[in-house]
Amino acid sequence: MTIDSELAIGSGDPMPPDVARTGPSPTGSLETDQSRTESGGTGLPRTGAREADPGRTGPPRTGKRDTDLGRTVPPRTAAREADPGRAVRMEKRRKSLRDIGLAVVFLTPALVFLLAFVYVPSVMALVLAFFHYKLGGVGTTWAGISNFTDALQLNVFRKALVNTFYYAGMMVPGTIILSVGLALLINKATRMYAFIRTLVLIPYVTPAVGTAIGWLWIFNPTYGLANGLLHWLGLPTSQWLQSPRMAMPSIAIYSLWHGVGFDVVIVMSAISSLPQGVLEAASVDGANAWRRFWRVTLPLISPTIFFLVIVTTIGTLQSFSQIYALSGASGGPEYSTTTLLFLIYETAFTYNHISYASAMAVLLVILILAFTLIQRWMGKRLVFYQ
Amino acid sequence: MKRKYRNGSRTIVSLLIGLAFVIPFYITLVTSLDSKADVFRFPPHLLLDFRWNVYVRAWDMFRWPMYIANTILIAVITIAIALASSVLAAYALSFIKFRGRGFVFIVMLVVLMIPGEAHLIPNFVTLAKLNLLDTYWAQILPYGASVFGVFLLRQFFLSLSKDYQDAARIDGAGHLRFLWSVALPLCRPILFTIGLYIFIGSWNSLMWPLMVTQSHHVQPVEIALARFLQNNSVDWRRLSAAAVFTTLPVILVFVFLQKYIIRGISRGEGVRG
Repeated sequence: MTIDSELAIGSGDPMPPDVARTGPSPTGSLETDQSRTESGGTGLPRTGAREADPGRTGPPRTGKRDTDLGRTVPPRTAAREADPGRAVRMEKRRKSLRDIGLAVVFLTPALVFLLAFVYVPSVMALVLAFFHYKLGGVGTTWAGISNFTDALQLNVFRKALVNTFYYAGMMVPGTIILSVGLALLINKATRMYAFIRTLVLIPYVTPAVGTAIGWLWIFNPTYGLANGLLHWLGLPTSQWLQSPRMAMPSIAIYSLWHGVGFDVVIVMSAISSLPQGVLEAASVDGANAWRRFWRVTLPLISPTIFFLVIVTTIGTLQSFSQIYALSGASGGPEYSTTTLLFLIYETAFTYNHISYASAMAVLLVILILAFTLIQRWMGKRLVFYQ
Repeated sequence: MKRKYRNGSRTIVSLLIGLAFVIPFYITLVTSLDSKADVFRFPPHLLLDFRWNVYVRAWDMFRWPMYIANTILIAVITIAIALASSVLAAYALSFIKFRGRGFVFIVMLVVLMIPGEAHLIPNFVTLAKLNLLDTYWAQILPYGASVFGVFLLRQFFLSLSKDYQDAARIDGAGHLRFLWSVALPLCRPILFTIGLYIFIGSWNSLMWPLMVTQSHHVQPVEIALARFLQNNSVDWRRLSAAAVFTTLPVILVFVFLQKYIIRGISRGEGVRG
């Protein structure tokens, strides 16, 4: 059940009209895929599968009846030779065995990779967290839950936890407000639509270090554009990344700039698939633009917004590159930008405390899963599905 | 009339906001082309000069061609492996009927729900045990299967008309033949989308290469840039020049092929998965 809803979130929400806009889509309609996926589980409608391959769901009716009758009347051997369905069935069975063989061969490469680099390691992470393990060290000893308790008592870990929440607390509302606002604005600017979308989306594909260099310069307290702007507006300037108080907000500004294009595209495709009739009806009924937005547009795109909330939360809990790039690999002044993942990276690879870091990673994973579940629970109450 | 006017002002506002998104790139460009005196001037200098000599110097300071070649090599091999494994798996999950097909698909989708941090450290340990740390393979193998790719391709295969398969069967084509001559050519645009995402992911990847590599000769360009940043943190012009020539390729790829990227976004997020 969770997987079905995950599926719906991952694929269904970002809507197909955008595909139609960007060019002819070879896949045809997405909706049909979706309904198929949900109805069958195996992807194909049940009846379709049955009609297409009678051999799998049992031999054809007529053939079976023949054998049943044949068992009582003529001698068995004769029946076997006389039964025309048998050869067909044997052929079918051989074919289906061959199909299974082929399926196994086809699935093996992908499953081997996933087994080696996802399934097994995910379990191993949990195991490592309960041992004292050092890379290249001798032996491994049982640690019980000491890795976890030690981590929780560590000041830096607590600080990282707070930082991570602080960062997510800025990023999630920031992303939603900015992406919905920009999508609504750009959507109406029909003439330059594609061009503006390109501009907004460019940062999304660029590497963190490459773009961080420009932003480090913008945030430069003495010569940067940020302070230049504040100065010009007559506002107090800031130390930005060099101030423990402003370092995290600075990174959030960078991250919003870097990632919001993705969210804008998703919201725009949701908006462009809104039923125009409802909006027009609201218009005719005398609802002004503000009211139309709150009462019609927002409820209709709420599943998309919900999807973005989950994706952004997970994404920000996992942030690393922007922290590394903007804080010069240091985690900020006074650990002000040290997030959980940054700390895990440092603990494991700078200090070689593999199992200690594993315990932290397990805690982070639990945190991510807990957030996803809480949000899903809330989503069921807040999101409006048509 | 009024409506038209409003739309016009909206277009202008949108355009200005859109342009604001590329200001950081512009700043980088201006900084890289400034004269030494102009860089340290307040308020900042905003017009382009054309002094390319800094580019020549920045380019000569590091073995950029090698790092770029590394990045491309890693991306190309990852793309080849991931596309092959995804196509085969997606084909099996949509065109071959066998028991437990739905189950296998769900088992794969579970991967999308496991946060990457869960397997970060064990993967490092595994690669260390296999003696693959500090190689290209350490940067390729963990991305050998793309669940996002399997998902996208399967969705596409299922949406294909059944007539294709029936026609192929009547013509006597088996699964292999059908895959090679019908399904594969049809799914080329999807393959392109997946490949593009893997390419951008490779070009931008930072954490994993930082973890598994130490020797410069196997490192990708993003790591090299991070090191360049740490070594040259005083020379802003040189840094900016390096930022320009290491970021430009991926921007160009995006600008020319954005159709495929937007398609990937609209079908569910999937950078390097």
